[in-house]
Amino acid sequence: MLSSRSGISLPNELPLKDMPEVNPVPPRQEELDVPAPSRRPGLFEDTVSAICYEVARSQIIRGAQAELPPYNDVTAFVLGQWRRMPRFLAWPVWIATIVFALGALPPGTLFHRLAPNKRFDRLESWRVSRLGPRRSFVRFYRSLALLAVYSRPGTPATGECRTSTH
Amino acid sequence: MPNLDTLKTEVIVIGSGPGGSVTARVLAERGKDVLILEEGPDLPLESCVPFSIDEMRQKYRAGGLNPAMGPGLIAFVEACCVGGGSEINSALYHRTPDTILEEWRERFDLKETSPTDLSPHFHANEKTLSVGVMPGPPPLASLKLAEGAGRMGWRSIEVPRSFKYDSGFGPDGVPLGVRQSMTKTFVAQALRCGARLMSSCRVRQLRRSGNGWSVLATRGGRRIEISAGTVFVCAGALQTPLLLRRSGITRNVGNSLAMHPTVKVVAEFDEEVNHEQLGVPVHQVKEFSPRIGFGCSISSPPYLALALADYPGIAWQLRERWRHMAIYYAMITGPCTGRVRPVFDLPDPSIRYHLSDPDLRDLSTGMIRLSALLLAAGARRVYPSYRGAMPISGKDELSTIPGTLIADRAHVTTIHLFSSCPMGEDTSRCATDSVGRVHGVPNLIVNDASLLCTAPGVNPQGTIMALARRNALHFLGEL
Repeated sequence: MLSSRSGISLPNELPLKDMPEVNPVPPRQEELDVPAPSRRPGLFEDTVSAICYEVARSQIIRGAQAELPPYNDVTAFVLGQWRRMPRFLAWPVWIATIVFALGALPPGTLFHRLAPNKRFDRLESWRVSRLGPRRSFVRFYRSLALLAVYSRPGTPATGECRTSTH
Repeated sequence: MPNLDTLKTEVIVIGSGPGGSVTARVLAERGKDVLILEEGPDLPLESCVPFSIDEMRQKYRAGGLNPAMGPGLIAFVEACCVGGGSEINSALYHRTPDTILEEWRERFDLKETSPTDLSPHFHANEKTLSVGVMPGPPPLASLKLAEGAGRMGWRSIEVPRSFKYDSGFGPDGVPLGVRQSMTKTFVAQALRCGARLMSSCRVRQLRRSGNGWSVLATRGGRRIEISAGTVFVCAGALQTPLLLRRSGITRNVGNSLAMHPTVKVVAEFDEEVNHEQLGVPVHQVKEFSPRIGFGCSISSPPYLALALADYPGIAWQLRERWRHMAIYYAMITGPCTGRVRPVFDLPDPSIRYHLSDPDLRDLSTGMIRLSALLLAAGARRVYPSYRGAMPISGKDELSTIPGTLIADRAHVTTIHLFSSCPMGEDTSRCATDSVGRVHGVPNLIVNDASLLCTAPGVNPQGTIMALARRNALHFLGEL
């Protein structure tokens, strides 16, 4: 039997003329979300979270309530996007993130354990690096985090941006 | 074999974007037994706010994180949902320029593709899509582009949209309404005519089966084999060549991908040009087309933040001045130098695209001219988007933009991809004949953006749909 998402079952060899509608109900949001791994967050997730917090923190200006922490929603969006990426690109990003996390100064200090000003210095050094992959790495995370930060309810326009111009 | 379900139908249409949905409707309304297979989910147009991160999560392939590799990365987005690209685009509509059709006929030995041949197909689709210009003032950010073009003495046009304006007016008097995407029009009509839709169904391979085809697919973790007399492949300019190559059909397939490479410039004006319901700007500058064109982009704060990512200290301006800012683009008609190849059995192909020095020079020329236009329109400052860029406040500073953009510094993006299976009678360079039939392979028809011989220099949906209608009618013997 062929089980559709909506729970309708189709027998084998069923002529299509007799096939019931296979999509009578649109999927729910949770069905569209790429499931997060059930294991505890590791170095990769901690590093992504620290990068997101640093990018979001760089956007804080006085009086901007929507831009204040926590930024767990920003981290969740970025990690979700990473899981959606083509696998042959996601793994190089994963490796680069681990290299970035381990390369923090002083030696032996992980990126997510650095003080905020040190995190900024580290991200900035990769952002303006002469090495293209380092610049691309920062741009990748920075772009996603900025999209999520400025999509937060209450951030300029976005909370109310419910335009009907579909 | 465990978990293998088998089905039979007369015609399978793979993909439900503009090409697939037109094909399905034409065939279904003439009584064909049609099954549409769509990899993405079946969602209503209203399932998310347009141009939002929810839309990225729900309707973009790979969340919108797809790059074409080359000397520099070119980021592109592609839809993966019922309705395809029409569910996420701006619904701007063009007919194919006559000069482009002439070039295709000459270079690719393309038959039955004159403006006169295609006119009835454009007309029929335009009626279904409610194509027309705004019945009121366009957005202010869009008018700025027209104003600047006028001051430069350049030609600009207001582009029609496939849109029903029936939802009142925005804060600046701009009419609001509903985009006429495929789920609103052709997919719905095809289903009413008896076509079947199987969404969230990924086609893995095509196999010859007698005079017809077996389509091997997976859905919800189960394998399906569907037999059909004829298969229309309408999966888009990347997935169509990927599927054909996986199925052993490789001649002139995936060797000539073309696109419209695009660079961005943010303009900041003294007056407000942006607001929560700005919608889609509709003006384009055609003075230098088809080689270079200008337009205005979606300019919500998340997109502004992205376009200004090269200016790290700009958070204050973004927060306080976003209503004075809008994003504009310079687009070139890119060469057919892209390659689409499978990566093992992974669902996404590897894409390589090479921008030559002349292309990068054109992008730079476009960025300089667009910046000059925006300054002429009254912008107090423009922010070109490339690594190392500086804000520009006057024409004398335009020389800070390099004469040739460096590939890995230019943040090139695109939303238009085509030409990976070009059509025509010239079998040395074309994958299909003039009506989409794959050369040397019976009962297999390509009917989507892959067919376009080269980049058309305009939004391609109108061209894709007209060709799809013509090819479907040709299959039915009605042309």
